[in-house]
Amino acid sequence: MDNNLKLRQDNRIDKKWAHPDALGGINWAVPGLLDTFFEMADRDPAENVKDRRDQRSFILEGALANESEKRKAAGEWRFVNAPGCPDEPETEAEICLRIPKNVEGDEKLPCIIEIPGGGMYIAGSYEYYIGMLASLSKHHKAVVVSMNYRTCVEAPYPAAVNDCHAAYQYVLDHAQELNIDTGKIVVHGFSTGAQLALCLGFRLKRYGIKPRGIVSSLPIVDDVNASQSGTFSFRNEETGTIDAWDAEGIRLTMQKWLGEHYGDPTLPPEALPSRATVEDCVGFPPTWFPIIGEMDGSRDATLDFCRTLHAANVFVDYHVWGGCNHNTTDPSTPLGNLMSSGDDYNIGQALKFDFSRPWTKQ
Amino acid sequence: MAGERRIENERIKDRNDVKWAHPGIAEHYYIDGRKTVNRLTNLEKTPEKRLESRNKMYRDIEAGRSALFEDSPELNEHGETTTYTVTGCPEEPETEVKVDVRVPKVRKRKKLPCIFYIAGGAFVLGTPWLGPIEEYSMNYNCVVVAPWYRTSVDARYPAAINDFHAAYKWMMENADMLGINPDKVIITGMSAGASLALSFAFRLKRYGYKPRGIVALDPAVTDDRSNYLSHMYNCDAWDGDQIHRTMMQYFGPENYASGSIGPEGMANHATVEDCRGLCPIIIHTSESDADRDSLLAFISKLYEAGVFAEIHTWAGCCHATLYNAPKDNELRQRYQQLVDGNFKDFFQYDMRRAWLNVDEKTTEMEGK
Repeated sequence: MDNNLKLRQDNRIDKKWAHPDALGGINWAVPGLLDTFFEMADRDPAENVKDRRDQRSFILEGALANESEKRKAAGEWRFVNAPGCPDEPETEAEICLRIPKNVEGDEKLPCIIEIPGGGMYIAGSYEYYIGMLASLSKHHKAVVVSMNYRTCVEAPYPAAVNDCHAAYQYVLDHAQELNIDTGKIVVHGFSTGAQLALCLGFRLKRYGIKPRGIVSSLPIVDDVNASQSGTFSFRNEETGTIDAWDAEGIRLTMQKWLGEHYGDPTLPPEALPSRATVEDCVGFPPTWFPIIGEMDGSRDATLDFCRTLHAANVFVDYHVWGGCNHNTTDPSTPLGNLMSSGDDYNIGQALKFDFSRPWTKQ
Repeated sequence: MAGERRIENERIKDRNDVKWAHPGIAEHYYIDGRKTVNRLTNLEKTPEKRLESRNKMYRDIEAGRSALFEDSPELNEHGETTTYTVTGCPEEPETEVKVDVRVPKVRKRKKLPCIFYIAGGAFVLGTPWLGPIEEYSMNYNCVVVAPWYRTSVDARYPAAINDFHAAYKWMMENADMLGINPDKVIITGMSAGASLALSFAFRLKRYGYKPRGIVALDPAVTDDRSNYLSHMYNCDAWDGDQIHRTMMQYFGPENYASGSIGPEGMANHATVEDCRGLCPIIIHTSESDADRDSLLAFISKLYEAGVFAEIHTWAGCCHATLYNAPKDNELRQRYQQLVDGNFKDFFQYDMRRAWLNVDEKTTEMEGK
């Protein structure tokens, strides 16, 4: 790098910035968090596809082998290749369904579309979240549907959004057979999953489909993040590695995902929610942001997006937590428990009440 | 001041209709405050008339409070309230201030944490009787110090801030007598009380005090509201129009919405520089609250200044919906869970970011 180039990063890796409860669990900083990304970004995408496939089947095998009897009795797994979405019909998406057993009553079941997180380069598939999918299904007595999406190291935008769309479309097409109430589909995701949940919201809007609600935890909504929170850095000055998901991580992965369109103001909100106009947001589903971290690179862009949703009269609820970065806190601490219970609480709210505001439609 | 207010076509956006409410809290969407505000800020009436009208309300509030204790004797028994009269602050030494102090009767520790409570009431009511000081003392096992203050009906800015300053200074100087740990003081308030708490933070900073934190519930932070969408909402609970009237009285028409008034008047008049070194601040607001957008502007300044800050915006609620809803309401319970967590965090952890303290020369360092 040019020695005359002085970047103004605001390094927040020192633990003094953290809420003490934010230091447990998944750590405030994980050494070399982005190293895998750098490795994968330089390789042939086909190699990454293969590697991820191998890793995914290994993870799934382990997760299913260790299932308790109780969990086995609570629901059934189905793994399906869903037809591609209308925008890319020839590419199938691998999806996973968790169907609860022994639900009382004759009522149709609600459905939760769970979009996995993983910074758009790791995880990014249901295998990594088997336990979470099972507990979501049990807690909300809902069919939970998750998917594998093509990450930025496998295929550029809009591949990932198409894969999420394919999963949603599968639910709509098989609602009768799965006994799902299509009026009660809630989309949820963490991190990149939270970003894709919002992108999917805009995609579905284009197709005249409105989910019951979107619960978006720690979302990424913009690529550049030209704001104060975009200057936060979690680079370890001793090792030179990026040790927590920060604005630099967002910029690098979004550059990979968007290619030459990185930073392009004319991108649609299906790629980046920050590109949405008020007009785009009119009629957007009720949206919750139960967790936004004070030290998250996306903080300001998310608050700006909330303003746009407000201007469109959308039901929107958001919580910025002081002393927290993008790494979620340990649910065994009081703060971590309060924060992470927000996701379940908001999904429950979305299923219980109708928050749509039909009079705001144009 | 006479003359009709002009409202142009569709300028005012409806948020009064209960259709905007969270369905789970719709029947408690708001309490109408407009008539009270209009009556007590009517500048066409003489100041004496307004004061008389306000004092009658104080008497009604006091009468209402005895009923609270009849309903919950446990709350009454838990602590004792003493009223002190204390000397004025350095900026207005001749004006004495009345301070209510609630102390738990049974205490295991010699020194308790403390809540400095600023009562709300649309900048027209300023009696601690309006607040849950007994509940705070019982629920968080702490001392509660609650000043009576001059509202816009009694005197203009900075009278209220001077009154808090007097009470706070007295509290810090008499911490031992009151059984307070002076390092564990949280300031809180609701509505106008929250607005004043945020403004008071800047006064405290100027004098070198640094409380543990501020929990501001539904504050208003600006009088100049022309550019904020949320100030165009019409809502009987509290809206741009009511802010306009109360601020006109609080600052006087010649100072209203003036850039020359600093953050000790209205918190969002602060620059980022003003915010440097402030104590931790947690804000709860609502989707249809008049100050939603100005709070987003204010919180950005706190972040730029590196202050520990949180904002929670509750959808489907307007001003004070959650605060006033019955305690068995599900959404209210979730809100209460978060607010309780905020208090406990501030008492347990020190998040004041001492390394950000700057500009010590200009402060008079009364608090050091």
